[in-house]
Amino acid sequence: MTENAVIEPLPEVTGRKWSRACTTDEVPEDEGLLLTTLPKTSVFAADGEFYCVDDTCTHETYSLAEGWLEGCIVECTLHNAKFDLRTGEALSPPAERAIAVHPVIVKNNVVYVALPQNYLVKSEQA
Amino acid sequence: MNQLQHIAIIGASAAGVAAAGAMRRGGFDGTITLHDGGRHLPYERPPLSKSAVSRGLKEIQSATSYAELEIELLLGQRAVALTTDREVIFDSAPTIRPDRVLLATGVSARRLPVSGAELHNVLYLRDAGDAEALSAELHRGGPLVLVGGGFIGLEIAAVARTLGIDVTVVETQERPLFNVVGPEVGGLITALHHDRGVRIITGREVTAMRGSKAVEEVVLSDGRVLPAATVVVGVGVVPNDQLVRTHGVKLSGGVVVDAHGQTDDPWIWAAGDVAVRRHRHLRRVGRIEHWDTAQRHGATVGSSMVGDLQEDTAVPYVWSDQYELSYQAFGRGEPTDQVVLRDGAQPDEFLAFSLSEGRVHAVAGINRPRDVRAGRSLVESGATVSAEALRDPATNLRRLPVLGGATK
Ligand SMILES: Cc1cc2nc3c(=O)[nH]c(=O)nc-3n(C[C@H](O)[C@H](O)[C@H](O)COP(=O)(O)OP(=O)(O)OC[C@H]3O[C@@H](n4cnc5c(N)ncnc54)[C@H](O)[C@@H]3O)c2cc1C
Ligand code: FES
Repeated sequence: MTENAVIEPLPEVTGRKWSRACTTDEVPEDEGLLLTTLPKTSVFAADGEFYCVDDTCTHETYSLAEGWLEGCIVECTLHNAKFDLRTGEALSPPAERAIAVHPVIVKNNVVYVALPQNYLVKSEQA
Repeated sequence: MNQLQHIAIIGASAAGVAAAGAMRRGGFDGTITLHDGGRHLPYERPPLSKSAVSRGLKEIQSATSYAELEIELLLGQRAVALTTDREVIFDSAPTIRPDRVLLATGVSARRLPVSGAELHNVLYLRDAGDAEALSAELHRGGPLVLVGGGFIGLEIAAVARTLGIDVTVVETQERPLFNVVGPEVGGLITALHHDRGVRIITGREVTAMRGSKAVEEVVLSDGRVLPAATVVVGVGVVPNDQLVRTHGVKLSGGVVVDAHGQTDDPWIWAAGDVAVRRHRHLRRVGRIEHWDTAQRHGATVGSSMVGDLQEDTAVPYVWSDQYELSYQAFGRGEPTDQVVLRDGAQPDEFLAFSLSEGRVHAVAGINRPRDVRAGRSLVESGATVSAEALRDPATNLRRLPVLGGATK
C-alpha cells in the first residue's frame, strides 16, 4: 500500500493518515484482504460497502482476513468468534473485546483507509 | 416471569458463565448467583492441554464483567445437595433457596480401575490444578505413558514430544480416536503422531501400574512392561450428575433435558457437558463435550430460564491443536456413514466428510479452516451433494452445486 498520492484531498481525520489500500476488485468476495500494515489490518467488501478493521481476532491471534464473511459479519475460523465490520463489536464468544474499525473512502475504484498515526504502513514493492 | 427472583447456577465454566450473561441480557433483573467449587476466576479449559508453558489461565471473560452484569460470582462454593424442598446445600456456604437452579457441572475424568492407579505421578487432566501438576512433571522429563488415545491425550503427547520427551500412547481400540472420528481420520491423526516419534500401542489394555511411591512401570494385557516417569490417564469422562442422582430427575449418561434445557423437574435445568439432549444436527441423543457448544447451550438455556425460550441448534464444533496444527470439526459422524476424503489427504492437511444418503452430517479437517467452515453450511442446509465434488480439490465448497432439496 502507499501513503496518499491522491489527487483530490481526502477529508482530515484527527490522529489518522489516509493510505491507498487496494483497488476494489482486489478485495475477495468471501474473505478479507490483508494489508501490509503493523498492526495488521484488512479490508472487506460486504453488501456493496468496504470496511477496514484490525485483522487480529481479539480472542487469540488468528487473522480475520482468513475468516468467513456473511453480510457485515466476519466469523473467525479458529474458534467462531464473530465481529460486526461496521462497529467492530464482538458479537459472539469466545471473543469479548471489539476490533478497531477504520474509516474508508472509495474513489475511482481505489480503496483508501484512514489509519491511526502510529500504525506502520509498508509500501508495496512494485 | 416476575415470580422469579433468584436463579442459582452451579458450575462457573463455559456453560454456566454463558448462561448467567444470557439471563441478564435477556432482561432478567433478579438475583443471579454463580457458584463454583474451584477458586480461579472462570477460565478456558481447552488451553490446559495445549502447552506445558504456563502462560497463566485465560479467563472466559474479564473479572469486571461479572460486577457489570450484576452476576454474583461465588468461588470456592461446592454444592453438595439439592433437596426436595428446593434448597441448594453447599459444603461451606449457607443454604440457598433459588427459584430455579441450573446444573452446569460438566464432567470428570473417568478413573482407571487398576492396581497402582493411586501412585504418585498418575495424573488426569480436567482443571487448572491438574494442568499445573502435569506441567511440573513434564519439565522433569520422561518417559511419559498416556493411557487412552483421545484428543486430550494426543494433545498432551504432542506437547511432550515438543519438549523432546519419550511418549507412548496405549489404546484399547485398534486405532486412536476410532470411536470419535472413525478409522479414516483416526488413521491420519495417528500417522501425524507416529511421524513425530510417538509410540502407539493399540489393542492393549493397561492392567496395572507399579512403583514404590511414584509410578515406575505400566503393565499391559500382553505382559509387556513400559517404563514410566509420568502416566496420564484419559479414558473418558463421567457426568457430574451426583447432585440429582437421588432426585428422581431423568438421567441417562447425564442429566436429560428438553430443547430448552429443562429437566422433568421444572425447578432444575442443565446445560453444557453434563446435559443429555437431542440436537437438530445430530442423529443420536447424548452429551456434547465441546467448548463452543457448551457456551452456546449455556446461553440458550440461560435465556430460556428467564422466559425467552430458545434452542441451541448451532452445528456442534470442536477443535484440537496437535503440534502446530489445528484439527477442526463440525457435526458428528456415525459408524454407518460414507466417509469421503478430499483427494490428496495428508496427515497434516486433509478434509473429510461424513455422508449419509448424500447429505453431509459432519466435516473434519486439518489446515483447511475455510473449507471446514464451508462444510458447516452443508450440514446446516441438509442439501444432497455429490461425493465426487467433495472429493475434488478444485471444488469451491461455498459454491457447491446442490443435487437435491434441503429437507431438514
Ligand atoms: C484439558 C481439556 C482440553 C479441552 N480441549 C478442548 C478443545 O480443544 N476444544 C473443545 O471444543 N473442547 C475442549 N475441551 C472440552 C471443553 O472444555 C468442555 O466441553 C467444556 O469445558 C464444558 O463446559 P461446561 O461448562 O459444561 O463444564 P466444565 O467446563 O467441565 O465446568 C464445570 C464446572 O462445574 C464446577 N462444578 C462441578 N460440580 C460442582 C459442584 N457440585 N458445586 C460447584 N461447582 C461444581 C467445576 O468446578 C467446573 O468449574 C477440553 C476439555 C479439557 C478438560
Ligand atoms: S482466535 Fe478467533 S475465536 Fe479464537
